[in-house]
Amino acid sequence: MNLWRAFSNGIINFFFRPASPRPLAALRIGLGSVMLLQAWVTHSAVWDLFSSQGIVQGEVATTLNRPELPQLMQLQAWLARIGISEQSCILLVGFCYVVALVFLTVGWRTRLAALAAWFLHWILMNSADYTLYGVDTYAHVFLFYLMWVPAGAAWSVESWRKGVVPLPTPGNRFALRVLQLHLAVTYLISGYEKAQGPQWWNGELLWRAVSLPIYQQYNMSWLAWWPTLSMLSGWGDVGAGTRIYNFYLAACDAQTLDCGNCGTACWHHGFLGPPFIWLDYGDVNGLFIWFFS
Amino acid sequence: MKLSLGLKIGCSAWLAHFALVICGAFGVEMPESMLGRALSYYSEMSGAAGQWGFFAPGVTSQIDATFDVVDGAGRHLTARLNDGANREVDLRLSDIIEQFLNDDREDEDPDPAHFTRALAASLSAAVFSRHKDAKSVTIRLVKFEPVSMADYRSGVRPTWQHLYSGEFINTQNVVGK
Repeated sequence: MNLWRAFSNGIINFFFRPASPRPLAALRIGLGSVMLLQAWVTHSAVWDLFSSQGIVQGEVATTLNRPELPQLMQLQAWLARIGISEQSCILLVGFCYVVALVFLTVGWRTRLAALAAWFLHWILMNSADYTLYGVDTYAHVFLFYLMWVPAGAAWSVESWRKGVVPLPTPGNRFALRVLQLHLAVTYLISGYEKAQGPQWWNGELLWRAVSLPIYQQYNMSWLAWWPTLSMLSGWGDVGAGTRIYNFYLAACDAQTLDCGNCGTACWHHGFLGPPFIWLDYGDVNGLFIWFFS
Repeated sequence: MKLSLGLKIGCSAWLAHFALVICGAFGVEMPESMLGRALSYYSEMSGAAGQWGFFAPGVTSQIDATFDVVDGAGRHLTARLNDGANREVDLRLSDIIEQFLNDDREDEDPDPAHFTRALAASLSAAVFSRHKDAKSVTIRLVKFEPVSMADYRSGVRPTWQHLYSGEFINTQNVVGK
């Protein structure tokens, strides 16, 4: 009986021990800022990516996208009935998306802003499904959660106008755990899938990645004479990715889950990040959550 | 600790959502029923359907596209979709070019050659729109296959291999001249 009580107390403690809303606010500001930066960086290619006269046209766009999901094309057809052109439609969606991100970042009408940003981001994703990578997937996941979690309770225009002091609550802790567990699962699965590939074990993965012109930022040909280093790096990434240690530590002490996220993020960026990915929202957000917990 | 009703409802909803996250991560397909389709749609909408095997099971080859443009005066020039000026945009444009090698789609597509030609035509059309007076655009696809570390040490070097080429003519510019 005492064992059961200790177990249930541990679960309740893990999920509901009162926590500050500041980590959630940090995630909101961090994600919003990075998404705004991304919008700024890619705005020059908006016609190439989303217009019917862009790079992927006609039946090819229809084949590559998923028609059952909401897309710009459907919105354009609908707005065309009231005389709004395709160009105006894309501009309107882009403008609303940026406004929603600004509102989300500063924490003004936070939930509504998160709802708008999430939905418009989803439309944009579905409209160019063939150009997506991990950044977009993580952003979509976190925007969805930001609609539900109390991300505007601290460091926001809302809280500043109300003059409330952000107090620790069980809801904040639960929201944090939801985000952290989702992130941990993604790394666990990523590590599991990587572990199925021989390249991750024999060191060829890192070598091949730095050999491809698209990821080549520095001359890494010296790595061919250091296969053990490449192999250890692959092992380390699979180990960090599977994060079994992370779940174990989480069961012992809730705070260590955040350290685990940070550890994986540092490993990726320290060893594999630079040649691979320009930005990794998952890692960035993991760091935000860890730092402010 | 006494939990509020809202938190209890939130907790129950999250458990259901988290179950879908696990299903999505392991690639579990929903049944072909109304409930299955609804869950599948919700998973897409919420990001629970995400696949997380980045660079798994391994790094494959790279494909690149160049375009030989013949303008109205008969001059030849080489064009690219990704000019290297913006890395974020280049990554996305490269993803489009990578569709030529999409093995997942080839399994479902009864006529992959038709898709290849349609995608090549689409990319060439984008080049025509950047070079208004172009008479013809020839797309050349090349594939980069890295060599192993052992081969590299023994002097073998990776090369770009020809994969596909196709010429597209702007009949309006040709007739006009």
